[in-house]
Amino acid sequence: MSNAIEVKNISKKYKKTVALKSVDMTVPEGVVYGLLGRNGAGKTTTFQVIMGLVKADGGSVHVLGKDAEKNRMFALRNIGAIIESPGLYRNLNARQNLEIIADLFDTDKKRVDEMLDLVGLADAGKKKVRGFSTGMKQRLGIAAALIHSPKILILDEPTNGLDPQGVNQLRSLIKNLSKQLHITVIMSSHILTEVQQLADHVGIIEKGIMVEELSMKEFDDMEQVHLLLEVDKPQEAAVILDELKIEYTISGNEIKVFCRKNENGKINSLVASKGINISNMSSVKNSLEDRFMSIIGEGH
Amino acid sequence: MVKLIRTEFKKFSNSYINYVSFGAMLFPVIFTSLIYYFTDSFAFTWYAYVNSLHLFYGIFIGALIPSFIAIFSVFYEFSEGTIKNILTSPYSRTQIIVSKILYVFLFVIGLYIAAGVLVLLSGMLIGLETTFSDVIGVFKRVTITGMTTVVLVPMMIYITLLCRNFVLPVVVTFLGTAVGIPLINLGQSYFYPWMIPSHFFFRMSSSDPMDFSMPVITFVSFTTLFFVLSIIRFKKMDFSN
Repeated sequence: MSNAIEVKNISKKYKKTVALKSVDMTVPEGVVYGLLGRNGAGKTTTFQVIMGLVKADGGSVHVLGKDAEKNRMFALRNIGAIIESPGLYRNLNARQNLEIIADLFDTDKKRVDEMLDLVGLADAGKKKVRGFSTGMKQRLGIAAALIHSPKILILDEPTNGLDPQGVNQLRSLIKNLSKQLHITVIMSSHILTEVQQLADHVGIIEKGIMVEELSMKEFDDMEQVHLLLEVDKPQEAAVILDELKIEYTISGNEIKVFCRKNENGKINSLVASKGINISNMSSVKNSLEDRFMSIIGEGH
Repeated sequence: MVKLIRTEFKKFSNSYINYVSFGAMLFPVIFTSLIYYFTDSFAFTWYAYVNSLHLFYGIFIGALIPSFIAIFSVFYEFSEGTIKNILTSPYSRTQIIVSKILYVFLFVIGLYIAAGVLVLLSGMLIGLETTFSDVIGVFKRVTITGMTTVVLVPMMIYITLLCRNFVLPVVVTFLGTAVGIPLINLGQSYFYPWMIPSHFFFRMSSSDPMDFSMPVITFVSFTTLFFVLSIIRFKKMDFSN
């Protein structure tokens, strides 16, 4: 799988404030990539550097394998973005806003209708943007970012200010863009559950440094916190665990076994072979939030 | 580049600044023609009528409206966050800022062509005797004077880019206009950008052949200087917020 975006060692300083110390970011093509970080961690600045809105002091950005600085037009034609908030002309209606972007990208005007339809604003095309809700503006912003058929979509905190219904609509839209239109979506957020539900890959940024990047599959395969067993004879199961010199705690019929993931099968067979009924067995892992908090905690 | 300029016209099509600009062009004509119509204290000639209008078109509105359009065209993009859309479209920063300045130039020129037509129509309506040479002379004086007000456009765009705010450029506009009024009869006030349109107007109004070289030189110098400074500033800017 080739990379949609490859950021290497970018740094950015504003007077005395260091916004980015060293950010490396690799986004494979076709995935939903969640960039996680607290407010002020450097998420927005990273996007601004990728889009050329802010000039980095050092490092490089590659878009679909090409150096973005040397091939700026190529990069911009292949990326659509909403950074911070969607930029819309309030004095114009939704259709006129999209027509302006279509003009800038030399795109067929038919795309305006297609995009309004895609984001569910077909009926609001003639309505002035100043009368739009936050959710409608966000969706119109996405339509504007997609009008030139980019291969990559960057969304900076896309659910900010949305009500639960708006969040749901946006989530479905992002899923649809990725699965059906095969657009690489890069979204930043500080809402971990949101990223966990949507992303295939995650990057964690803290104080201007990319601390960790991993796929959700890698995350799922990570070492478990404990194995949770629900058995009818917990004391007999405890004897087996003592023999194996594995730590555990018992609470009623539940046993928390602090073992590695690859030991689960062995424990299961041994317990079953002693005639102990296992009514439930589950591997308990870190949530993305636990992982995020442990990483962010390390920095303090 | 043509597409960029076209989008500039589209994006401001329903904006307040456009309505204010058209209103400002209409106001002097209505005001002056009503005074002419209801009083007999003025010499009833095209020369006197256009001279009265010059106070508005050459000095007050002439300085204020092009400056406001320039300030608004930049500030609005910052305040709405739409500057990011343009910057992430496949055009260079030089193309973007040049097209914005050219848009304001064209818009102001268009406004003054409309003002020229309005002055002619209003003069005819209040009963001024009209010959073909009057039409050409009046139209030329109003439109060319108005067009030279674009000298203020790059300067105002530059100041707005510097402070990313409308307050200082608006203060500069009012102060510049106010300071210019006492300079109106000063021979070398063409060094002061707000007075350049008046110099063009008076030279065109004179029955004797007049030297246009100094007003032209200062017009070109000011326009070029701030045009280049605006491009340099825009190219170096970070659009972080």
